[in-house]
Amino acid sequence: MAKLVVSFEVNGVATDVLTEPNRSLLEVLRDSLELTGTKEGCGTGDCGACTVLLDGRPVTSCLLLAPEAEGRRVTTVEGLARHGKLHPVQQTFVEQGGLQCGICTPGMIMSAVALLERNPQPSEDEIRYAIAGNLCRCTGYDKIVRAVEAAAGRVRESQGVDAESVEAK
Amino acid sequence: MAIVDRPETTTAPQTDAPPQRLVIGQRVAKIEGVDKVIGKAQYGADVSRPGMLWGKLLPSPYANATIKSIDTSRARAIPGVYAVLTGEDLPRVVGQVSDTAPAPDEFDVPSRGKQLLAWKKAVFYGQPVAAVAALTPALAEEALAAIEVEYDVHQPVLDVLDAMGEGAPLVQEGVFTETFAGKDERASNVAKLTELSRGDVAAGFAAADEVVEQTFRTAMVHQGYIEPQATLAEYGPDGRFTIWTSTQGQFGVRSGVAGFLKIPPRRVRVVAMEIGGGFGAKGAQTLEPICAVLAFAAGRPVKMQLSRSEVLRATRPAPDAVMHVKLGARRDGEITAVEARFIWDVGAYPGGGSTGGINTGFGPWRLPNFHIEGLDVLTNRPSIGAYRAPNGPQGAFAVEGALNILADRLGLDAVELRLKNAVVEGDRNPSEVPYPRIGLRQVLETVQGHPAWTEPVPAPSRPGWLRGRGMGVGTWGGGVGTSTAHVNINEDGSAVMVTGAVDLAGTRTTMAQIVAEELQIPYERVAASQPDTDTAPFNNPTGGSRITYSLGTAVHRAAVDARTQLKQRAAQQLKAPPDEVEYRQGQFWVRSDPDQSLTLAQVARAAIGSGDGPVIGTGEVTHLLRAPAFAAQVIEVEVDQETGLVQVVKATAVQDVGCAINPTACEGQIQGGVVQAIGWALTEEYVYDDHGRLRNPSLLDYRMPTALDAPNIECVLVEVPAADGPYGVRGTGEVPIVPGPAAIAAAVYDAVGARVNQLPVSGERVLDALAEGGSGMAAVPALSSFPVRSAADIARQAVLRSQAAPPAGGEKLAVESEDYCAEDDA
Repeated sequence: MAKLVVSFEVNGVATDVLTEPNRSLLEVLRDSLELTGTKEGCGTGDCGACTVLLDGRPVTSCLLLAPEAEGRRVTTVEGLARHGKLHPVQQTFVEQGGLQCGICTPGMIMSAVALLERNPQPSEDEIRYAIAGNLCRCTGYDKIVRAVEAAAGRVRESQGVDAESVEAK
Repeated sequence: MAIVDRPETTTAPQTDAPPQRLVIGQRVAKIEGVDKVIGKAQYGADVSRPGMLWGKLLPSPYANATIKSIDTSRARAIPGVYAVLTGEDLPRVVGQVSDTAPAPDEFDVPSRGKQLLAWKKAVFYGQPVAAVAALTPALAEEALAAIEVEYDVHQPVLDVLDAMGEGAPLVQEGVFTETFAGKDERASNVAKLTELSRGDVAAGFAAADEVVEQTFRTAMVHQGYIEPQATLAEYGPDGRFTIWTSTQGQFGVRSGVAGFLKIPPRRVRVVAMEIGGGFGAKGAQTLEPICAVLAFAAGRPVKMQLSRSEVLRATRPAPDAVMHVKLGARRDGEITAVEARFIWDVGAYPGGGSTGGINTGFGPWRLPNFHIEGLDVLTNRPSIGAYRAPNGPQGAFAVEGALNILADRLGLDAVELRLKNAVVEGDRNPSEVPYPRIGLRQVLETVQGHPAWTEPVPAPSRPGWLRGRGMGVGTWGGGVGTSTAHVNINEDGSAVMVTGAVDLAGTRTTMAQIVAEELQIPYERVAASQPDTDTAPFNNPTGGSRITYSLGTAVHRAAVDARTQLKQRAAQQLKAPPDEVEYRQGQFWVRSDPDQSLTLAQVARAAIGSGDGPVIGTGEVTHLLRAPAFAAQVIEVEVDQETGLVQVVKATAVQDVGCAINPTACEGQIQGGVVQAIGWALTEEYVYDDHGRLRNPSLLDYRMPTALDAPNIECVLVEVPAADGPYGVRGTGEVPIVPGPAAIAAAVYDAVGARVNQLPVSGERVLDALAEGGSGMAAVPALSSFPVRSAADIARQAVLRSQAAPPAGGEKLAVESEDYCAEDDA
């Protein structure tokens, strides 16, 4: 199959990839760009382990063909921490025990980050709804929900600062 | 290394004032937590090697079919395809690897461990029939499609009761019912019959005021780890295999691969990657041996990664069971007699261990008289494996279900009934293993006083729904086995703990807490290393809730050893007798002259280049007394009257953890177990068509609980110290999955009056039970109605034939389920 070049932004860096057009974004991220933080749990969009942000919105990268990312902005779990500082969601997952084996964690975190971007004051139901597409088999979700609640508090606290630093980028 | 007297692990002190502990009991963050949230942690599928190929398996499209021929020539001819193997090729490749060609009939045995690829026939849907290695995943798929297999298709045996019946087709040719008295001489689908008895059952029932007799049924379910099995194998020029894999035990993989390939373990190095969930399933080997064979045959590193449908179709799910329970009790609730028959669907290969479910189901209760039968029955489904407290949730669904019905009939409080019959120290489980110190009574008393049980059931949260509450109890005998650990003291007084254990969900963290506690240094000054089998000290696999208890003991001993050695070095350096030297939180001093002091770092640094050299503490454990854990859960559900849909809205989990080294980790284990039980109880189920094909091999159709299906889960940690092991700790991981299904079924009955004795408790079943006014379950026929010979029959036959004593192996049966991990991989 003839390959084609896909140009997109990955974690803030302009990136070109040569790929068969039938490969998924997940395959390109993991196998071509060696960004193995994004995980594959099912390959059919049911488990959410491969969730990344596409122009800020959560998508299951196993269901997105790589060429569909052309000209778009992709954020993976590797791109959340800035200047050696964890994103509040990453921080609270560690502090609150919001992870165990860790395989669902990258996708779960991406869904939670996307939620807090659009709603920094979510109710518990809204949190559960936002992560309902991310299966976790270890935690029973309880501590994940607490971690997102705690992260929301921190995002709100630092909102002004964050808005500035986002502008500066 | 200095020879020192290694102090034995002390039992946790039982004084009113708890000992002042520095790190034990703290909610410290996971050591590898940051690696996992930034995507740096490396799992099975994340590793690659130069020149790597991709391996894939050809699944059988039939559940029961003779392989008439396999033509691989077209697949082999595809450029970029490096190896194509079928079952018949395996003896040849093994012969090339080991220089000892195995006899072909060695593979002609009913063992899944031997038949990595189907041998002459496929016995379950999705069973691997051929394996290929090619340059890309797409090429590997192309090669699979080019393999031509001619099958002779037979009707599969799919139901355990059918499989036991007269004239049932045999799933395997060479299986004979195994009993305490030896094997039956007739081939049968009943692979094993376990009979456990005590007292006089007839007299027990005669003394009963109430008898409950019910049949229960559960579905085959999957462990549901989110990470599919993934393995990378490489064969080096030195004749050694290196295997990177997602496993619960790298040493088990090493023996498994070396055993299959008939080579010594020194020729295999196994690197256990981070593991994305196992729950028992990754204690068995799925890809490692075949991946090693492919790597050898292809002459290149080979990576294999199961798809989700392969995971569901063809790994090792948990067995479904048909269970008959007859319970007799006096008016006050005291159990007088039990008769039970647990029939396990173990799939297409023998193994699984029926005693586990019996001991877990009946273990919490004092039974003066009982006769309990367990049968392992073969069907044309994937052979089963361990899943968190293997066979416990099924057994408890039946036993706790019967107890809840008994409580209703006698008009007794469900907790009161259980307190009346609860085992205490000195009582014995059905396998006659005596209980050491246990906390069942304390757990039940905690429930009895908890608002989750004492407060009235709240009104339903929405119109058209009804709310109810139920409870159940569970136990797990605890895991033991061998563990070793090293604690290396660095020149700055910090420590590196080295173990050969796989960290499923917090091992490194809790173990580092033990090291920090015993060395009295901050937790942050302990690093945890879990290297490969070449460099790590030996450890049995992580499973059966054995790690914190057994590895914890080894780590504790290693840390105490390191501290003892440090004290000796300090005494040498301070020129004082060792018993004159005191140590506290990084400071050594002479008791009679406190000004004579050294820091831990000074002692450690000086030790490296002088005297007895650097300090390396070692600890090992081979056998501990078991530390059984008990849990009780109170669960509230709401049931939609129109559709029968059940939702769990509240869960309260009370569990004896012995000592919570890290309460966050304990709660995490409990909450995870509760939600797996919710899936088991309400939505998870292997659905087969009449041809034995799995209808729902995806996570869309095999429905595991999402965040919206899970309630808030309150955990109440009870701490009754175990009689052995460090700080009184007990294994925490298995037991929280056990009580849930029975508690949920009881809550449904409390809400709408529907008695559903079959899992999953689907909306349809709730409505059916309401319409029928009963559970709608047919009773299990007595053993005598099947062509199955009991141990007594077999023994009698043997006597009649004047044969010698029962063949060896009968004795082993009794202890098999007591193994550290109820997984008897062939």
